Amino acid sequence: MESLKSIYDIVKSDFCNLLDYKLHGNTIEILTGIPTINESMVSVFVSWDGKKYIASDGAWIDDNVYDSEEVLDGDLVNRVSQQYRDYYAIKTVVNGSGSLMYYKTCNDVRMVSAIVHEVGNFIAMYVNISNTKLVEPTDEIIKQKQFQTSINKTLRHTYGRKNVHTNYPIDLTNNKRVKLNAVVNTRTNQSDIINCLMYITGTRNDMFVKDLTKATVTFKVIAQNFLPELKYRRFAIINTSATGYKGDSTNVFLEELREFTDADLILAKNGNLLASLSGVIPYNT
Amino acid sequence: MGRKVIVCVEVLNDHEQYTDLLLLRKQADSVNVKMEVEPKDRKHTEVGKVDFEHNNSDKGYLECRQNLIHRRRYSFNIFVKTFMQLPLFRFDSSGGRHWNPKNEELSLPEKAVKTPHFQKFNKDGISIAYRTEYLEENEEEILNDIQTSLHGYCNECNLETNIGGQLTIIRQINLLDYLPPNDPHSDAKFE
Repeated sequence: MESLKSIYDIVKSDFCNLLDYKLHGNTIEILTGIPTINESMVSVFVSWDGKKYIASDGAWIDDNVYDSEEVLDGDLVNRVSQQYRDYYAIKTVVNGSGSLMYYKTCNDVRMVSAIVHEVGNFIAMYVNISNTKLVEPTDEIIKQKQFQTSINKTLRHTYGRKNVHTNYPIDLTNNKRVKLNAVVNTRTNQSDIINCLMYITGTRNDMFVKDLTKATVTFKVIAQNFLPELKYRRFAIINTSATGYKGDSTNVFLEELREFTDADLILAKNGNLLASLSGVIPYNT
Repeated sequence: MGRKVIVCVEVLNDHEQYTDLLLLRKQADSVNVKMEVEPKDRKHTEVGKVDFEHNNSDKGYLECRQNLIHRRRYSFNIFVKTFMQLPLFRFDSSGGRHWNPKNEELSLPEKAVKTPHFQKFNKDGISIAYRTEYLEENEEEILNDIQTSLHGYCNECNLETNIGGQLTIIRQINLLDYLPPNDPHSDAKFE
């Protein structure tokens, strides 16, 4: 049986030899042996602040250092990762550069390896779910995602990433809840405004009309049920280069949508907005 | 869409051409790489590009990217888009270890290649990360100084300036030459 034991010795030694470290100021990066499905390996950052030990992802998930593709709907990633966060009791904090950091703390040095182990496994699960392809994306989904991505990028660039929430559910009165493509927080004349944005696109006319009617109903529900103490404005961004956008047959739906928006429809061609966004949605005036 | 492309078909089909592009002498059309802040980037990245000519025929470019907040986080990529869309050869200063799962000749610890590392394609069109003696011996210096890294990178892929020297990084904004360590916990308030 000595030879079987030696197999174990090799495996144990190789597993342990996967561990490595790097120093970054007062924080040590533990290079764990946990691989991800996109050919990366998980690092956990550990420091001591005089009272407790902290183990974090170093904001690598939010900064996308793991180079995730986000092939899944962001909403699904959020739901699954929330379960993992609850399971591992992971806390979050926003660092000085505005990135979200996932972390755990402990007071006893004996528990450090436990929190590193948990944070490390959480990171791997998060990165893996972001890179998991559950269904082959259709042309419709790819085009829709491309449009969403380019508009989201413009919004973040214009208003700062802290003020832009994409794919965001908002709670209304009467226990109602609607999901918006984006919510942009701005300040005008000393008061906070919640700008509600819906995107309209589609490779086929019926998909385009579906987006149009969904936006109309969502905006109608917002008007009827918005929390009275808050101010809102509603905007629709129309992808005029979508193949489903056909003038005449969509006009009746576009007219209806106009009734429920607080500015003229925002037109976008090939992912670029045709008018200056800050002209339509003023920021900090 | 989908997961990261694991097999690069262009390299798989013509590995000889790939090796030529990687190893034969490439001449940049300038002596400098001018770094500029990318206007439409939320991650505060500085980008520098310089065109090069390979063997007096194929044209390509070198792209340098550096994070302005985490300044030890930077990468170099060379592209020859007429041959392949993915970067021909890359360098990453930091970030997670690259996991070479498909390389069956490597033992488990050898499959994990920490940064800084180079990345190129093998004959099966699979991206393989590796470290050289140069990276092992000069790791600290490389992390402190992007210029040193660029020299090492250009030596590895045989890229030089139009007058046969080393490319120099120049920038518009005035930043320290020495890159301080990026302590990710220094600016966050943990409960």
